[in-house]
Amino acid sequence: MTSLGLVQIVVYFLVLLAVTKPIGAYMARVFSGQRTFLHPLLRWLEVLFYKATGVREDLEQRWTQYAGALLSFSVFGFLLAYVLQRAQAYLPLNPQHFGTPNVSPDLAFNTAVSFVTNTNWQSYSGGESTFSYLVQMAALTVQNFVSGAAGIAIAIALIRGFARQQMKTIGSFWVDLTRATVYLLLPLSFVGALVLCSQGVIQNLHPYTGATTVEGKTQTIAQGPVASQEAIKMVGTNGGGFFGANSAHPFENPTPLSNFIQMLMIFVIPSGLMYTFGKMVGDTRQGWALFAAASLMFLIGVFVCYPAEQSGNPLISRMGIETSATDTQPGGNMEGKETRFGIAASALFATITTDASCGAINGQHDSFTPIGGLVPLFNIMTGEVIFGGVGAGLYGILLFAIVAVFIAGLMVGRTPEYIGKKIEQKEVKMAMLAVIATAASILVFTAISAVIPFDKNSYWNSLGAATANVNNGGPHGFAEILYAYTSGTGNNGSAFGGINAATPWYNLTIGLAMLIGRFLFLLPLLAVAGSLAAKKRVATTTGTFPTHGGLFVGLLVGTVVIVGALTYFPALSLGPIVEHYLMHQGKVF
Amino acid sequence: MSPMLDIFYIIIAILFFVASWAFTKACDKL
Repeated sequence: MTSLGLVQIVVYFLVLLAVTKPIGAYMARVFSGQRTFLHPLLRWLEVLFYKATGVREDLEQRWTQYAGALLSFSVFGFLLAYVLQRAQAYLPLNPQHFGTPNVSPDLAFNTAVSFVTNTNWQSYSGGESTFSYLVQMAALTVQNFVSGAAGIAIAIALIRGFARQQMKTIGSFWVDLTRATVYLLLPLSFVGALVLCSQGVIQNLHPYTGATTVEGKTQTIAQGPVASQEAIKMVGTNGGGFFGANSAHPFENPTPLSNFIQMLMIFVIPSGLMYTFGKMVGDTRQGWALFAAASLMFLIGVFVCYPAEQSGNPLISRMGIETSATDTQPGGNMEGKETRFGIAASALFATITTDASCGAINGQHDSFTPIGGLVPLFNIMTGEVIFGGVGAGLYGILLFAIVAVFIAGLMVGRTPEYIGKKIEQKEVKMAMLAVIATAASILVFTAISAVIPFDKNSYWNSLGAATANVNNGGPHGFAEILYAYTSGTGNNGSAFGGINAATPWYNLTIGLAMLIGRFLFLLPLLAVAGSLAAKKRVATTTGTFPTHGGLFVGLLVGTVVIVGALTYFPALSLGPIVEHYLMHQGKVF
Repeated sequence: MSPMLDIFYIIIAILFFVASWAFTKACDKL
């Protein structure tokens, strides 16, 4: 590791720590219906939404009604995104004349699901060569806002479950969705887009520019409304880039400073929501305990990934090539990384984007060393609770907090409590349902794709067997399939690379994995919210397990890691772990 | 072929959401 790399990591964490409380306190005010400094500017817009849609601001919902509203909203979002893609040839804002053949039905399905579930897995080769500006803006960017807002709404509903007592309702999905969009995502994205523009991110509706290279060849330089999509892509932890190269593209992420800002934008809401949790349940120490657990896991991930990448491939140094960092070269493993970012900023970005359910990339994870690549993979497998996606990270770590206090309760033979609520059969059943649904999706789809045969030139997979779509053999090829379903189920959306997933088989099954990972994970947690809201708060006694101290933080981290390790260790052993040992024996894939 | 495929994929998605609603009701009763 280099001192400059370490400074980048430390500065990043300190800035994150500094912004957590202000943004968290602001969100607590927004979702408690209190006035904020943005109300004079934006309250009219919130009211306009209610008037236009007939939503009553004072009408709250039971958890099933809340879930019904979310599901109906998502169905509508899916249908709109699907139709816009398939009909783009007949719609305006299409200067490149992209047609229906650019978007097959399976690709439209995958993309619509991907953006509705806040995943932004991009099965297409690049938005700049597939979608019109209208699709990019009205289908993809709009979903970036509302799917992120929906995730925040669910987290707020779960917080209310802990904060309330003897109530049947957990808030209104429509009001939470509107407030998350109007007071949080819109202003943050607006400011973020302006800052990114200042760094050179483009924002226009121009036709693509033709250029002649020094070799005399013609090159098409894509244009478009990039900054506006880029900002919400990060703030909403969506991750779907305007360009296929995502945040490695110089028009999306031109400078080391824009890279730093983008990394900060990914964590700002998830980190702040942990403070919001503490604030809304009346004990900010509870929020800081979650923050401490997430920080610990985040730093462990960074300090496994970064040294692995900085060490590079031992086979190259055995050939007598200098792989250590010097004044004139970064050393280590630079394959698949942008020279303007280097190893530390690429390893940090990869860790952050997979801790959160963002999925933006500034380097190719497929080109990481086996251990460096294992970190992003394992981060997603933890359920993306290391700060996590907007809303999804908080309700994910609260799920593990429920499991952790349940385990602690079993150890001492006492009914577990968390934030003054007794954790009983219903809560534990729901938490385990969420864990099992996501694990089953990852492992079952991966296992099927590792063995399923198809005829060459068949509709489902024209390349033949599903394993024919990977570019590498052995454990690396297996890791590519495992990563695809892990990324889809975890609603991350980042691609390991090295797999051609643009076939009906992968589009359909990864699409289903995204739906399972989103809805079969959050619906049980909404049930937990409803169950907890109806309970009385019990008084703290000397026998109550304190959930704001180091012991709880350790137990929570242990639960996350152990559940992840026990569930996925066999699969990881067949992929990056065995690949790491084979690499040291001189065999690479 | 394409309109049939469009219908196929739309139905798959709608079926998932219907199943999710049934799952919600089941969670409520559990």
